[in-house]
Amino acid sequence: MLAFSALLTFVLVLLAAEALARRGALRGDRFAVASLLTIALLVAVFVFLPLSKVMAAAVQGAGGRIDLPAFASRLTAEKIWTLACLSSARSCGVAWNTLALALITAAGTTLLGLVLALLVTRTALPLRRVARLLAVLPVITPPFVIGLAIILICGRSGLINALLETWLGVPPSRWIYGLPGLLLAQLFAFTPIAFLVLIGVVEGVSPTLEEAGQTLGGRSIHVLRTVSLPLMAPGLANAFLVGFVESIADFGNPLVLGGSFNVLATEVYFALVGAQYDQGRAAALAIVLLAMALGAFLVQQRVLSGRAFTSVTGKGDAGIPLPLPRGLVRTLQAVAFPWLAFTIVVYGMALAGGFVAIWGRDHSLTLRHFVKAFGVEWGPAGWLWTGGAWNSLWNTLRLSAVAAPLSAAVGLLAAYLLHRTRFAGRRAFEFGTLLSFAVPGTVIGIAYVLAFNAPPIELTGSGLIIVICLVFRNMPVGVRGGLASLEQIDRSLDEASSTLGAGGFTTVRRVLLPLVKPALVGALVYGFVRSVTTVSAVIFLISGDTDMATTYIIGRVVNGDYGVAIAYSAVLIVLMVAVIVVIQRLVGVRAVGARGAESVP
Amino acid sequence: MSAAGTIELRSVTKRFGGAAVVDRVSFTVEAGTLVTLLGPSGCGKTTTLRMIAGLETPSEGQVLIGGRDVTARAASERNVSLVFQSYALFPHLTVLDNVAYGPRARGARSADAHARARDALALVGLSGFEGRLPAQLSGGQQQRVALARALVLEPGALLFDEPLSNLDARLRRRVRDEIRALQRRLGLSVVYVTHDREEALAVSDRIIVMDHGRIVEEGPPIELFESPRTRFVAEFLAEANIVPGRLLAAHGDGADVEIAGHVVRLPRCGRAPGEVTVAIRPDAITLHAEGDAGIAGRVLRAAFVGRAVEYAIETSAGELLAIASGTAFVPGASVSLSLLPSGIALVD
Repeated sequence: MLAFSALLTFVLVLLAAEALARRGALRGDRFAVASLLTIALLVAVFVFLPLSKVMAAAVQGAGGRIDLPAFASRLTAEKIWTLACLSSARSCGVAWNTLALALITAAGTTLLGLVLALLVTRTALPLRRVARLLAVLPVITPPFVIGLAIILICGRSGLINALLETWLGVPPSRWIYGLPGLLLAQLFAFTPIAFLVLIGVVEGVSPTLEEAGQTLGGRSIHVLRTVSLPLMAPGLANAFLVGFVESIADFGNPLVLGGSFNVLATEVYFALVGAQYDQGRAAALAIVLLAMALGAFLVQQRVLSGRAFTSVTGKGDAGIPLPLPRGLVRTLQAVAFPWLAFTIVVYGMALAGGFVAIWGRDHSLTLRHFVKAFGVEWGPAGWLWTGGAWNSLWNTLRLSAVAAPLSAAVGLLAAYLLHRTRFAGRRAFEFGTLLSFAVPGTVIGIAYVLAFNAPPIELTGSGLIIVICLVFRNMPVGVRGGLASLEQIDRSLDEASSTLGAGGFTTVRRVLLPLVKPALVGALVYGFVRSVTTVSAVIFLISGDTDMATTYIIGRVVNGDYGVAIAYSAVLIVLMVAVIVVIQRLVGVRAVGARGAESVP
Repeated sequence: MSAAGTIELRSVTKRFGGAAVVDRVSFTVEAGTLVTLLGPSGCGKTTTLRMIAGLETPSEGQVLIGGRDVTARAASERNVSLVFQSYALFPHLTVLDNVAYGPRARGARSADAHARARDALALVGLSGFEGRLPAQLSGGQQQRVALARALVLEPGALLFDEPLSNLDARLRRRVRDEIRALQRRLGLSVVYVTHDREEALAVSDRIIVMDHGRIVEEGPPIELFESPRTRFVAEFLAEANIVPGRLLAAHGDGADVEIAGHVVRLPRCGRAPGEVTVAIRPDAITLHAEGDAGIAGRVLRAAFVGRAVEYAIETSAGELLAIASGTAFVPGASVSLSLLPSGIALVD
């Protein structure tokens, strides 16, 4: 029935597109009109509708009627906003917790990111390879893996507590749970992202400007402060906002490390799942979280739209970047090296921890966690997948494999429409396609539950809803990648194609697609890997049949079964690396002559 | 090749934002002729061409190709081909696949499309380059591939957007002549956009001069060059000096016009006696040593440009540009100017 109505809707969209194209819309290109209508409809149904349901749920009182007083009291609930922790031993509201954690994390990741970016770009240290590796890490690691590794190191039965106990006789404690642990985990998880943002910013500061500063008599530390830093300011603001958004959206780490320190992302989950089951409260919490995220997103858009910091021009810029003063280099190294070392320990733990029998008590090497999770036996009926993790792993791979190409396709198509066509409502369309990037996964999760657990579109409990959720969460990556690479392809190529008689579809398939292959690879890889590693949104959508890898791992962590959890995480990380390599091989590189792109300015 | 079509624009306007970049433009390109849209950058000529191709939709007015209204038709559904300024060759396709792209997109079978592409490449003298990628060709060769790719569809109209601007000076003349020869041989209807007046004069059956989104004047090259009716065309097409003059008296078809105290007899252009604006082409000014009868002047600057010398001369009518060969005058020299009536026109 649902499939039938979907088909019917699609046919109607095609008919409408035909009619509009005949009247000359989008220069009469049927394909473009049909794509535009389809994507707009999908974004409306799968992004805007669910979010509006959150709003509705927060406003509704008992019996489904609009109840503004209830709405007001939910939004202003003491549990969200109290500042009791300032004056007493009680804890503060979740909103303040979230905000405090996000601000400290953002500041920390920005600072660490800047330190690393400066070291990589401005010193002779051979850090480039490390940098490349760092760039990949946050993409292939489920975010909570860091939290997990930190538990192994600093937790009650972790390394540090064990050392403290044997040497100083300090009894093991749970100090890591709460703000300290969360902060640590998020710093490690999100610094690579800040670094990625900032390396572009630091490289973007034109050496010529710095040379100008020097020839005008500035000492190098002075030039750095008065020329380089102001030029980087918008980039730093961007890195800060990225860290902020990542932190408030983070779900996995607070779940495994939060202890009694509640943040919005987990609070939303407990309000809906757990014993409370209070849709209204969950929706109100989601609105507060969404408001924070969208606020940061909008500020970020403004910061980036100025773009005053791009001093990179088409002109060859042959200057030599200003060497950093020695003292500064030492300081940078003193910050960066321990951090790098600890990162290696953390990831080493995440990969190796699965081979230890019982962490903290029995450190004998064993494969039993892997057997428990991924055991395979040969029985009379053939191979038996006896491991407990197989079901969730297959689900994850299957659903991600369906979602990744779809999100890449929708994302790139949206980028094509945004970049190559002009239509009324373009800004709204762009906002709609990028919006789901800014919405924390938890909010998306609850929104999907509220929107799709009842007719007309009843999807909860199925694999389909997970696929749809993954597609629209990861679509913005395709959009951004597509926009960036279309920027480099001269418009006259598609114009040439269309004057030669090719419709929009042929143009996309035969001209643009081969030329945006790198973006395609990026969108595919990123879409797939993000689908595999995501927790927050899907945790609301899984059912007994559709358990996912990450939610399975979270379940093991919550049960204290760290061995299997860490072994499974390691398997996921290794698998993701393999997938990235395979996809890159499959899609290949763009087959253009050496100077290809330049010969068509 | 297929029968060439006429191209007709009826009061076509294009607005971007509020401003009209093309403002009520109407003209007709007769079948088998080459018409140039000439004007400074930003005059709306390229936008006009793109509206014929279907790459822009007019805000108002109609575009007719071969008598059919195609205003709302997509570019892919019009029987026109456009040669782009940047050539817009597909960098990932070989020369042969580039040229075969059109027939393939219109549903031809692969073998058939390749056969037609080979014919088109032979037509532009590029046989033997089929397997190359565009990046492996010189600029002139890329230009020919673009031409072959446009010709292979046997379009009712062929459009050129500044096709020579990426070529060096020597190649420019050759390609220009080749385009003109091909157009004549195949009887193509061509709209050719350029900002280069020599190029326009050399290739066109008719020239349409545009400025600020409007047509200023149109006509055959010689007519526009020798008797422009507007100051803009005189300056743009012939770099004419614009000076004030006085129409003294009419004598039948001719009229005596006084320029800087010197009287010349010009075609009258239906004007009454009184103040007029005179356009004097630089090549219509002859310089003599001081003392001869004529307009007195002093050489301000002289620039040797090869076959001739360009002089800036101060006269009572203002500073004049003269291009002359022969005797060289140095800056500061006093000279006397005589004017050739055939190089002088009365303009608005």
